[in-house]
Amino acid sequence: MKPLLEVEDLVVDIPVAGGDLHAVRGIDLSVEKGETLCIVGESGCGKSLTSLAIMDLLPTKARRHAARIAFDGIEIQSLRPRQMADMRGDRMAMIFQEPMTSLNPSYTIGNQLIETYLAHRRTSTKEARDRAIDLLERVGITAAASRLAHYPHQLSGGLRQRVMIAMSLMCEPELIIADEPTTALDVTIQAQILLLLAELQRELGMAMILITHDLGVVARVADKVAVMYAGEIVEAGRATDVFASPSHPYTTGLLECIPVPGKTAPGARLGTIGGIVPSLVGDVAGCAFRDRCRFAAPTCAEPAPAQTASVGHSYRCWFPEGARMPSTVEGLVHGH
Amino acid sequence: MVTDPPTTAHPVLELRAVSKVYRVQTTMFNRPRDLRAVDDVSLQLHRGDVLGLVGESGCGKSTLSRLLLGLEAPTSGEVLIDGKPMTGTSIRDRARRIQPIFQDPYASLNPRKTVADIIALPLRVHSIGERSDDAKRVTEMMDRVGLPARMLLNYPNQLSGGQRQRVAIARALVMRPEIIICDEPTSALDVSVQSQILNLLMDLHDEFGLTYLFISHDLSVVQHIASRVAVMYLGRIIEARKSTQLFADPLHPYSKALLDSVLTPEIGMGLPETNLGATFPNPIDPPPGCAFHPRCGHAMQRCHKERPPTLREGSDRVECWLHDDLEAEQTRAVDAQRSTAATPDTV
Repeated sequence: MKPLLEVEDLVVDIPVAGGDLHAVRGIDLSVEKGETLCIVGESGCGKSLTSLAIMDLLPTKARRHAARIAFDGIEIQSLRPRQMADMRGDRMAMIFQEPMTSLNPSYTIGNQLIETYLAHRRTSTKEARDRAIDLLERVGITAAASRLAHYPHQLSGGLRQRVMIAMSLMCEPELIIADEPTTALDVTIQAQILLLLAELQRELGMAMILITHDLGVVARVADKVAVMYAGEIVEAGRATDVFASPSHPYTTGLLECIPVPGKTAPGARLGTIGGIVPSLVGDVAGCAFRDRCRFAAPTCAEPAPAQTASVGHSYRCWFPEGARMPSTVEGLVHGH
Repeated sequence: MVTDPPTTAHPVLELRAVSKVYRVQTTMFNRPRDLRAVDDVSLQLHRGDVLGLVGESGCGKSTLSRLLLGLEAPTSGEVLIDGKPMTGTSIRDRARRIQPIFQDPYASLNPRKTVADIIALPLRVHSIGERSDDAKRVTEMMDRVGLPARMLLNYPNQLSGGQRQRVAIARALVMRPEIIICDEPTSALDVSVQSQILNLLMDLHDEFGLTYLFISHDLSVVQHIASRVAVMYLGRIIEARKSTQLFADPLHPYSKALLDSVLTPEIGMGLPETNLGATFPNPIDPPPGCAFHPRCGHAMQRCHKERPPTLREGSDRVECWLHDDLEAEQTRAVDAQRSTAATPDTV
């Protein structure tokens, strides 16, 4: 089946003092209809910029280029801004982390929901209003008709995020990009929102790219996962494969950092990843993880090749899993 | 988890029937109303305890920590340090014994002071030791929390999030307090940094014999680090027990829902169905009876009208009608059957 979204060799550069910040460094992605892809990584790894690049919402000074960004066969890079704007919110929609900052505080939620619909559909306000009510009910908001007159500040965080989801669904998009949709919410609400997204996705056959820092979320919702580090995808594959046999030293390291009730003994020392993320300003050469990797060797100063763990599960490292030796490279910063 | 607390010694920090009520004006024309942020809370911290405090946002966790730090005075009830009322002690005294570590190391450090100044400030404020000894104390403490000495003259904006949190920890520890109130100390950090800070907090606990109140929304972290856990809902502690017991067999339906909501990185588990309903009640208008009843799958007639009593057993306790008497025992048994039959409930 042809993927709904195909991204090949996506690069995002941001000019900063001292050169270019290579925030996203040549990543490939593909999402099929009805599929959930999770992009996971720590702050600054380029996961959010990747999503903004796909939506063509990057900050003006950021430069994007890619061999290909194809949505349903349409090359997005060749679209005029007007055509892209028509596509956004209609065929592809985005859900942001903090609904308080992405909803307009001075308009009612009804206004904002209806406006989204009217911007893309030739229809009456009445019809748009009915659809807004319908969707608010669908995302679990009671007394939806009366909620339309509410302003964002009158709703709780969980409700605001539901409104945000309803808004993204107004035009029945084929692709939803959700950037940390539950990070600002309580754990109990987080589970509900993720469940809601999963249900709606199944019901409407949407594809979803979910961007998160939380491997717990990934394990529970992803079909496919891409682990990002310093602007690159270091490991990608079906979620079942990646969690069953995490293969990049960064992925294994991350999983060891998280205490898992019932598995990690309470009070036991948690795994750590020493060192800090390298600067991505100026030339970046070789494996970006080598300064923090316990298996680093001199060869790691050269760009790491892709290795295949199993069908559709690959990672970027000089050493396949069996061939790793504890690092002897001098000057490795460890500990802090 | 750290060593079990001695239960016989009297608590180093104690809340006795503490309430904190704020007057809030909801709209311009309404009369101000009372918001019970903390409602009749009794809590004990023994030397060496790591007490985890969990609950949703708005449940009163932070107000509770402010009461313990002496930053707020209780409306009623008493806060005791070493068995003596806190009202009788000076702020200076309190600050030497209890120190906070806050969530956001970006906001809690003065951007115009160097690391050395930030860590030394408590020493100066409290006139501890000679000024000439400051440098030694500061470098010792930096070494202890894992900050290289070359960062002595750096400013907070030159440090990473993890390093800033280490500065905050060094500042809290430089006066050698006994009690640390950690308010979401790792929530703003990446997981790889979070684990370093948790390891450090556990080491420091053992090394300095510290007592922690560890506030967090992350139950995996609390289970890992806490020896006891208190679950808070709408200003009340609805369950407080030993961590191992609470996580193995939560008694209150809310505790259970919280535990169920934890998303561990394990594949094939799917998403939990907590049946909690979408809305956290408005704390200005708490529901009558048991405040949790509108969201509770086990709510009985009685839960709508009467607030459940606090059932105690040693220092353990739970506030829930389900655990009150035999009748409730039977209801539980039926529920247990129902849940083993795995009939999915509808929201």
